[in-house]
Amino acid sequence: MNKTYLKMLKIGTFVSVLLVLSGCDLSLFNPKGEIAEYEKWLVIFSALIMLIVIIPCIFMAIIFPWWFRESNKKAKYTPNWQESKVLEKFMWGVPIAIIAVLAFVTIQSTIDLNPKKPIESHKEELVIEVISMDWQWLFIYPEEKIATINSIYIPTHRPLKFKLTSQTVMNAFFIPQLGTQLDVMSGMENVLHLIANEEGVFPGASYNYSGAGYSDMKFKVNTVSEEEFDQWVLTQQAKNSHPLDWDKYQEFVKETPINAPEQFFHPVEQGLYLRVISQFFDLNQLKEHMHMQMQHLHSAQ
Amino acid sequence: MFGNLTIDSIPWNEPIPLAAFGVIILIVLAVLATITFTKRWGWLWTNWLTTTDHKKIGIIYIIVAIIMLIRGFADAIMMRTQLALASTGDQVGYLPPEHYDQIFSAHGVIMIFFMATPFIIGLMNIVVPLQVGKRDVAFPTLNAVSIWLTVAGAILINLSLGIGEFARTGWVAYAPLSEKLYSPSVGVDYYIWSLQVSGLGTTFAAINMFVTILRGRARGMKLFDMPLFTWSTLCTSVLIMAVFPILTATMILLALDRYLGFEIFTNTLGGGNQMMYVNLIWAWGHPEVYILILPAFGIYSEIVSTFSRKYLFGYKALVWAIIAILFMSLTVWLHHFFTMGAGVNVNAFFGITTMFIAIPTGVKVFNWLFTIYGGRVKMDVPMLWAIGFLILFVLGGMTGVMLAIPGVNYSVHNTEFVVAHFHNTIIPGVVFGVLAGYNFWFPKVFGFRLHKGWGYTTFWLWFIGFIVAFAPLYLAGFDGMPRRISQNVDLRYGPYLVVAWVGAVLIFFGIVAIIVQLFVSIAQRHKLQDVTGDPWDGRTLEWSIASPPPSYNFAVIPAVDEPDLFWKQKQEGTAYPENKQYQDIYMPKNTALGFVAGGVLAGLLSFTLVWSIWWLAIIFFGVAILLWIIDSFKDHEEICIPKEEVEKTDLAFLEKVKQFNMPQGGRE
Repeated sequence: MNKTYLKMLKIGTFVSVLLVLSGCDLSLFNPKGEIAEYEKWLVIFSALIMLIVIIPCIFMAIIFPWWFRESNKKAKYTPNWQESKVLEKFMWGVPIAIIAVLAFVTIQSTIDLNPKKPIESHKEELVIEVISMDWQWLFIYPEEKIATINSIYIPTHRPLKFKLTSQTVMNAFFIPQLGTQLDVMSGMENVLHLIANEEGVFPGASYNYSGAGYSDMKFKVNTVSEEEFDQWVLTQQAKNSHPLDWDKYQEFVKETPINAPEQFFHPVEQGLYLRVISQFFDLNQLKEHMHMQMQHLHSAQ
Repeated sequence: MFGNLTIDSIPWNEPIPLAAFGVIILIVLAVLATITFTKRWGWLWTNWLTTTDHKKIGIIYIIVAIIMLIRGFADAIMMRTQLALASTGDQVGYLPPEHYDQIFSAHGVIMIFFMATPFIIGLMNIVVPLQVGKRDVAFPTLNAVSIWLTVAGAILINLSLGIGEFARTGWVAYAPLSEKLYSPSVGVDYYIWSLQVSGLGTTFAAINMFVTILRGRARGMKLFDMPLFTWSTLCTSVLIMAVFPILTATMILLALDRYLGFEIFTNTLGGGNQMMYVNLIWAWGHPEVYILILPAFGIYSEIVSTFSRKYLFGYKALVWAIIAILFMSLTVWLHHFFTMGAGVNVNAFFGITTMFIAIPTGVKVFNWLFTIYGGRVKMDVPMLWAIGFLILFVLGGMTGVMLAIPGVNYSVHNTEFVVAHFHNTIIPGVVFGVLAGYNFWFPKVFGFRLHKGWGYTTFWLWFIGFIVAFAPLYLAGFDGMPRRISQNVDLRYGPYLVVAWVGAVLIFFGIVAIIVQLFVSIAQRHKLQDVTGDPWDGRTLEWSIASPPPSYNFAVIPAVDEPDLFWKQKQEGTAYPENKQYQDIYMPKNTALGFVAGGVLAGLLSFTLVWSIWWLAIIFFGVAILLWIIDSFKDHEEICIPKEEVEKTDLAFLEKVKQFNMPQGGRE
């Protein structure tokens, strides 16, 4: 084999191996939870099925103009050829077939990945209330009466229920390695169910631009075993000196920190999260909302 | 007296915008001085500022587009530099967030509204009347108003550099971030009024094109005899007329919130609904990207067919595909907010309608490929752009369909993946398209071709630059990098962002090459002269007349019975008929209304509205409306071009054609 070709082949292999290896590191292809795992395969599947037709298209876009170039006298010139029943069927058929498959996959995956749908598990859900502010994240564990700023602790293999709202403008809550991003808006609530399957520290951030401090609206997701999580909860609860109530919350609202440090609070005023949402409510609507919540509680009991 | 405008509105302590603004002022002064010293004011006024000639108006549109391309790219390279710096060590870079946020907002607005849109409308203005065999557009005065409204908007957005500031909200300015509470400065007001003014211009231009095509076609030309670019213009005009009013209304509602304290999109107790803003802005915003891409599809169709010297494969399929895309594009806007928490049915429905658009688009790609198949491909600059488009655009389409699947969207929405995707459709789709069209129709407008070598250089710089700049962003998106961040960027994104910066530098040289190509071509214009009016062995009507065409385009309006009429006539040897029946031609006279009411007054009006100088705003508005009313009562005078003159010009052209043996149109 020609030496130059060999060298090119080596470099080519090296580069593609490098690309594949770097691909494994990308957070989307390195999921740490069921939802993200599902989304990873959805990305790969949808890309591959389209590449079936995209790659030949690119190939044709290079070969056709080259072969039918003006100087190539071997190429047959057919200036009036402008119709072909066979090709026409193929031209409509292939895209329709691919889109039909993708449409089916879309319906099924949208049902499966519905963020509002609780994750099936024999374990009880952990509820975390999330409030985005300018420019930090407040996380409240209502049952544990703990709150944190820019940092969350979650146990592995236990379904998580995030209840999301905003104090100010729109933001988006996203932990890439756990999957599914969801917008947060003031006076409204979004619900997101996730689960983590591996321990580690994963980055999370706001993904919807929200002003000058947006770049630093990051938070750390500490995923630990269930025992460690329980231990963490107990440690936080033992430190009884940092209460979070409505007045303290009002202080947060006024400041607009950039790159805010992690903080921990206990105890947390009951119903703080609902109060944050309801400050944007019409009073009548609020009453109705509270009424429905009460009914929901009763029926659950 | 002067509303909110004070001497402190000028950002004295911010060197970068001040320097940029200073440079702009110096350039403007230099241009004005040159005009004064060469005593060109009269010439400028009669030939350009008051013109109603659709070709000249098209040229002004394209000049605006190229200037704004440079401005928008300056923003782009500043962002890329900031991100490369902020991800490789010092974390802070050289731009504070409040400055960076203005830059990305301005970049988006400028590239969409003041670069891509004017470029496309400019090409439509030049080409459509020639392709349908018409002497001018349907409403020449309105056409002049349209261009000067666009120019006013472009000047307004550049004023925000040095007087006040621009919006820090992104190019779609989501409420409530764009409300007074969170954006108290005039930035969003600049956004609102520059969009209103130029949006009005775009709407008028669409109405003009729509009527020109439906009512002004040459004898015998049925809809299915129209060239593809005309078809795409017709569909684009329908789309603009359908969705630009939504933008206008949305901006009015936002202005009511900001100026008069309405609570339409706020999140405070008034009961506003911020989701409605997102809904409205995308009901306009998504069709907008098809407004840009459909004409580009038309340009590619013309070019692929001409340079393959072959009939378009599946002309009817191509037309129906454009019509299908027109209607489908109105049913997909919700895919921009899958992550807002809509239910399964809504998300799945909009996901599927979105991916349906891939079907007609795929058909079009096959049509172009099979047009090349069996052709005799002449590799020239426009064809190279078209092939580059085919190679890159299919990838952008693929990532688009991926984003249309809600489950995929949940994991890459608002990441750099989205940035890479839409640049992958807009750069190889729209920008390659307009640059191809620019190289293709330039000789028709100016009578000489653009330099081929510099054309190739431009192409390769853009093609490679695009890949180097945006391929890493796909990877950064897969790695979860949020879009629009500027500070403290995670170090693992550093390699991607440095490579992307290199790509941006390549594109910079691509833009330099466009300018060099223009100047080299002007210098060599005699060598590059297009004597016959048909430099590419063209197929459609515009190539059958002289380059540049006379002000009245056609000495005698031809009768048309198929899209590639000129090509067929060349084959049959009837392309340049003699013994025509010449007649007097009446052309509209110049009008100052467009420049004065559309440009000066609308520009001043929007500037006073930005700064809440109400009394002046009322005066400017009143005078503009008054001028318009007065103008509508006038009998529009026309210039008569006597038939002797028409005959003389036409015979001279035919003589030239005979002298230089014409290409034979597909013969061996």
